[in-house]
Amino acid sequence: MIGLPPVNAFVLQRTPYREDSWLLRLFTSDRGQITAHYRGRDAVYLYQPYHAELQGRDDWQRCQHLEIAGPVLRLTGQRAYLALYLNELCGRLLPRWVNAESLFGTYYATLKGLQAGTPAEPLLRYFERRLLEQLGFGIDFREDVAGEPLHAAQRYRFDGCNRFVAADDGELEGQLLLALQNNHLDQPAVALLAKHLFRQALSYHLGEQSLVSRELFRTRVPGKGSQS
Amino acid sequence: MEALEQLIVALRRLPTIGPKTARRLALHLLQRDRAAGAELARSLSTALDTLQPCRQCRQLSATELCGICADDERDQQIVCVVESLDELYQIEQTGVFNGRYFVLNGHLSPLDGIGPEELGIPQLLEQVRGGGIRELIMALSTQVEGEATAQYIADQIGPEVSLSTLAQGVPMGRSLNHLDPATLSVALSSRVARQTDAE
Repeated sequence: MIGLPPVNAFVLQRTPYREDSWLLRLFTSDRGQITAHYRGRDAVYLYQPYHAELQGRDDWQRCQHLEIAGPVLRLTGQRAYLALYLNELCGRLLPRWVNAESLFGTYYATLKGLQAGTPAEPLLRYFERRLLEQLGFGIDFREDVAGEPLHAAQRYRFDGCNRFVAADDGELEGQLLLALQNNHLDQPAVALLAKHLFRQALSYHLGEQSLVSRELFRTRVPGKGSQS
Repeated sequence: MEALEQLIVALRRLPTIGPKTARRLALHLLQRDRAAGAELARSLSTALDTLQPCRQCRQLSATELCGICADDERDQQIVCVVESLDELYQIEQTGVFNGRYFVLNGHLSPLDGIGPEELGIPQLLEQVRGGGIRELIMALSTQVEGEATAQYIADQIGPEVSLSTLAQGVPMGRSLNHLDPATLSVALSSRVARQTDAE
């Protein structure tokens, strides 16, 4: 049995377990994703910052105590879809037992931004970029597969994972890739490129099973916009 | 003892039942109260044979349309959307709702693989588009999944249908001391003006 100090955590998913407990899938700052058993049937909230006291073996953690560590983030309307999208991405891709302090901070900041009504697209793209980096597959904007720095005047193809290949008939403009490297997500063309690239890169890691939360962004009634 | 093991495995498929509880229940039914065991087997078999989801609202029914959906005295144009049959029964107990229901059997939960199809939302939308529904009451969980589910339904329907959600906040008879911060913050942000005698 290993006892450790409380960790910063968000609940990604909670499943009732027997009559008096929860099985929690947690996003922790210093251990990445872990699953823990939590005895107690009080409400457990998603998007609520917690301090979690964890104990036990690697594969079967017990959450001894779950203490509220800040105000719950209220995501309403279509922002609720975006919040579920973040959790689905983390639940599907975040590795177990890795330090994820930086991504944890980005996740928290993204939720705060969504709650505050900050434009969602740049927030999501920034989060996706950081998630790919956490996976060890951050997109390399510094140089192409041949080791040459990216040039504004050159065109490129994306390898579907994290590298670019210089190609005269490539669909990607070098200048937009360089703008994306510098996070100029406020420019519509850069934001569109980021969406296209990150979606491809994430699909590479997600495999054949598509994201359920993406279905939510497809609306049928004209005039009711959506974003993802 | 293969039959005993089969029974234990079957009981373990029930929610909240672990291996020890399953064994205890099985032995109780087989050793201590065999009459209760036989009654359980008969009732379960009858229920499985006769009950099915209502064609319109998805609650369990012995007929194609459940009693509520077939009741002309109820306002069939007002539909209360609930996550489970338990909640339908709770609302029925209040005696103040005279519309009908639609039972989702859950809420959106992408990490569990539960999307709109799994909740029967296309079936609900078909009923909305077919006309005859003037109000949808979203009686869903107050957590993000319930909010997302209500929002998804709202996004799919036009302005011809009125949408409402249940009020949130301090439960009747509860002291503020016993509320968690999330509930209290919702209660504060959705506070209502106090009615005075003069109004």
